[in-house]
This record gives sequence, C-alpha cells and structure tokens, in this order.
Amino acid sequence: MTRAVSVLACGVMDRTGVYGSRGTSKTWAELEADPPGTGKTVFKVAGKTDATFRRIDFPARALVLACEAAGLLHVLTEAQRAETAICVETVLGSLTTDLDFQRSLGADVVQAGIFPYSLTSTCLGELALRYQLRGPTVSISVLEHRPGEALRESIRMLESGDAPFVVTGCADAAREAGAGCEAEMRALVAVLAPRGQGLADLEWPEEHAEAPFEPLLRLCR
Amino acid sequence: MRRPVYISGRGAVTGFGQGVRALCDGVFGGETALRPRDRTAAVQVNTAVCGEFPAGTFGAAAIPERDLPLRAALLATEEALDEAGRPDLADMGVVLATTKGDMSGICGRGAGLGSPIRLGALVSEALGFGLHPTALTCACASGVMGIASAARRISLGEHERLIVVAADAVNEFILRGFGGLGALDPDPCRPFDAARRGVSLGDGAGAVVLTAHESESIGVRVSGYGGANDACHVTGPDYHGRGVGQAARRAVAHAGIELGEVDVLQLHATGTRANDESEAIGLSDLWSSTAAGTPPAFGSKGHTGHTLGAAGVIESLLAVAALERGQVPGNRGLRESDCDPRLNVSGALRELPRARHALKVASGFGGVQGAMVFSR
Repeated sequence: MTRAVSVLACGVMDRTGVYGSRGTSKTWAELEADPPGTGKTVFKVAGKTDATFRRIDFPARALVLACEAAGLLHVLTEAQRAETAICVETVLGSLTTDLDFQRSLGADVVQAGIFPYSLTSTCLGELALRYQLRGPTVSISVLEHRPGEALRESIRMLESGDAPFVVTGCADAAREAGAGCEAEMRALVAVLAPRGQGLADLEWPEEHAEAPFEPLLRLCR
Repeated sequence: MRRPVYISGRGAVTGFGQGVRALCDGVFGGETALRPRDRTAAVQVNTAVCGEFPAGTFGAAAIPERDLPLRAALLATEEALDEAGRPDLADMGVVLATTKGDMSGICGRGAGLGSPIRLGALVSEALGFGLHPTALTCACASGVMGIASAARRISLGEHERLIVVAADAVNEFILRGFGGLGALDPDPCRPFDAARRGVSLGDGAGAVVLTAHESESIGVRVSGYGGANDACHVTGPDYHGRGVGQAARRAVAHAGIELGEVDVLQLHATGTRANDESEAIGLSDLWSSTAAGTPPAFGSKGHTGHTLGAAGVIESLLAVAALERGQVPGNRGLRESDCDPRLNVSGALRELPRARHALKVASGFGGVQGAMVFSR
C-alpha cells in the first residue's frame, strides 16, 4: 500500500518573497524589506500585527511568514490546532544565533536573551505560541544531501494516530554558510492530514529523494 | 495494528562514570555526582558544581572537550549493544538525540557547527551501523522524543531494531547560557525543595536498544508515548502545567492503561522554581480524578545534574530500573517541598512492590513536552 497523506495548505518564504497556497504572493521589493523580514512584514503579508516578530531568530521569522502564507489560522480550527503536531527539519539549525552568542561570551555583556534560540525547538515554540499548536513538537537535524526526514516523520505521526494534523516543513535561515550548506534564507511549511482531503496527496519520500519538498513548493506558487 | 516495542539493551555514561550500574547504584544509593567544577572550573559562572564525567572515564589521556559527546555516546552505545547481545548492525540505525551535538566550529576549531546529525553520523560510522542515522533535537526533551520516534518506526514495521543514543557535555557556551538566564543554583540543585535556587548541569550520554522481538527483551516494553506543547512561552513553562499533563495523559492513553495503573513517575525536576511548581501542578491535576492521587515520584538531577538532551534517555533508564528494583529513589536535596503537596515526592528511598508501569516526563525550551510509559 502506498504511504501517502493529504496536504491541506502550504507556504514558503525564500530570498525572492513569501508565497502560499491560499494566494499570498509578495516579493521582498513589495514588502520593502530584506528576508526574513522586519517588524512590519507580518502586517504586510497577513494584515495583522506581530509585536515580537522582530525579536525572534531568523528561522522562527522565516517559519512564521511561511505559516502566514499557508493561512494556518484559516485552515485549522482552534480545536484542531490544539491537537496539531509540529515537525520541522533543518540543516543549518540555529547557526547565526550560535555564533552571535559565542561571540558575546568574549564581550562585556553576554547576550543571554538569545541563548534559548540556540536550540531549534525554541523557534518551533514560536510557532506553537502564535498558532496555539499543542501537539507533539519535533525538531529534526538533517544533512544537506539527505533532506526529507521531517516529511517521513510527519507521515509516521499521522499513520500512528499520534496527531491528527502535522505542520511540517524545513527551515534554514542563517547569515553564514555552514554544515555543508550555503548561507540560506528559506522556510517551507505544509499542513498535513490523513489521506482523503485537501489540495493534493503527498507520497512517502524515499531515502534518496533529492528534492522531497518540491511537490509542496509547487503548491505554493 | 501496532507492533509492541521492547527494550533489549541499555548504556550510560554520567558523572557517576561509565555504566548503567554505576548510574543506578549512585542514584538509588542516594549519592550525587555533583562535585566542584574541575574541567569547567575556568568558566566564570554562578555555580560551584557540575556533574562532569569523572577523570579517567575515557582512559588516561585527556580528551578535548569538543570530543566528549562523541566519546561518551560511543561508550554508552557499546554497553547497550553488549546487553542486547550484539545484534547485527547491518540493518540497524542510530536515532541521535541531543541539544547541540558537536559544538566544534562554534566553540573552538572544527566543523561540527552545532549540527546534531553530524554527531549521529559520527557515531553511526564509527560503529558500522548499516542504516543512515537520524537526529532529533528537542532541547531537554530530546531523549524522550528520540525514544518515541524510534518506537514509532519499529511499531509501524519499518525496522526490527533501532538504537537511541543521546549525548551532551557541559561547556562554556552552555554554562554561561544558563547562567545568563539566572537558572543555575550556586550549590547542588534541590528539586522541589523550598530552598531550591535553580538547576545544576551535568555531562551525560545514554543509549537504549529497541526491538520488535520479545525474545530479545530485558522484560520491559515501551508501551506508550506522547508529546505536547505548552504554547505559552518559549522558555518558561505554563504555570498550571497543562503541557506536561497533556503529554502524560497522551502517553498513558497510548499505552492503553488507566492513570491509576501507573506505579511510579520519573519527573523532569530541574530545581528551577518555575519548572518544579508547574510540573507538580500539572501532574497532580491530571491524577486528581483518581482515588489514590499521584504515584510515588522522583527526579534525578540532584544526583546527575541536568544532562540536557541526554536526560530523557538516562532518566528513562532510571524509570526502568525503578520497575526492576522495586524501589523509588529519594529526591536528593529535598527536605521540605513548597510545591503542590498532591505530588508524591520524598527525600527518602521508598519500596515499590509489584510495580508494572513507569511514566517518564520531560520538558524543553520551546514549550516542548514529552512523556513515555515503560511496562513490565
């Protein structure tokens, strides 16, 4: 039997702009900012304010914009979001925060406020907080040449009944290149559900799939 | 249909030294591995103690700090594979759980760059596992979430055996990070005690071999798991402990048992005011519907220090040991609790006759909550 789930919505933020399956399409020129955005960017993308957006780390900002482009609050009800899991993968992790915090150890004042963002689960917590996603939260570290584990784990979570919906995707947003990856500024999210509803099916990505997120990217534009 | 998942091997390296026996004898014996800082003594931070790996754990030669997570992970993995009867590694894979993994390149020279999967790949390559490794990083709940992920894969029939390996070692980055947040107790931590002032940190690695085959089992199943998110703050817990309660409720439901059947709780119990209060409230509220209230509960960070991403695996081994030994360790440093009195904690070792089910809970930055049920 084919292992597959349904995609309810998806959104992406990359170096060109913010795009989503519900029609969001904004270039950074239109947004008058550089990725991953400023304090005004959420308003320009989604018409609402986000008081702490400018203070959160790059991957969290990228993920929030992708979620807004996916229309997360429109796709899932509050009750559904209370059961929704998060499962996101990253190559670069929190590299920019790690380097900033490490540099601050040699300065007069340690940047204690950014230390929690040295953990990638913290940026997923920013999603949980904003969208009240109260299911299991899983952050996965992947090698650049082996993407797709978050999709596989999300499908497992749905098949096992561990969550009825999963916000899945990838987030690599850092100033620096590292861990075999170019300096990236991209996040993609998709809302997955058991098969039989939604925009399209997403099949199990094989271990050696080179571009497992490509089917989701196509739904964003 | 879900396949059952069994434990077949265990390994650990902690401040008590190498081995699960040293860990369990230390914790159940009421000892502590929190000692005056030695390897990290030069780090300027507001605590005198740390649960560092004892000198000589990895042989006579000094090990660079950046290599400690890998060396500890390898030792724990070897021990777990020994207990599991040296299964064929060709169709086994590593599920690596850590907060930061290999910090080289961020702290000093190297190419690790805080990428957990690179540590997983090093462990996998060094020991010759056939499957590609995966890596989870869910802050201080990493170990628990790693066991859940591996159990899920075995349960779905993808694999016959997997090994969960968790490792973290304390360094300046971590000490000053927690210090900057004001989260460190200057003295050895005292979870749930009225005088507690924060957490103590510790080095740690743990490993657990999971199998689909009962014949290989040590007699303990991973019978349930669950997760949740507080969704209220990225570093502080929900005061009412709703997240930890929800994760525990989901794990117990997944195990197909009633709350009243849980015989022992292994707590996150960091020693920070916020964690201990919210954990006590959340779990006590969950058990408020049962006649007997919460079962006997214990934490172990007063013994080992908080081993961060490794804590979920190391403390799961202690939960399993509580079932095997029929005992609940005392909560070291606890004289008088000022937390929710409904939580059944004690400073003394207690007997636990006929115990069948243990529940382990863990929390991490980002509001992450995880819970596991182990059953005999």
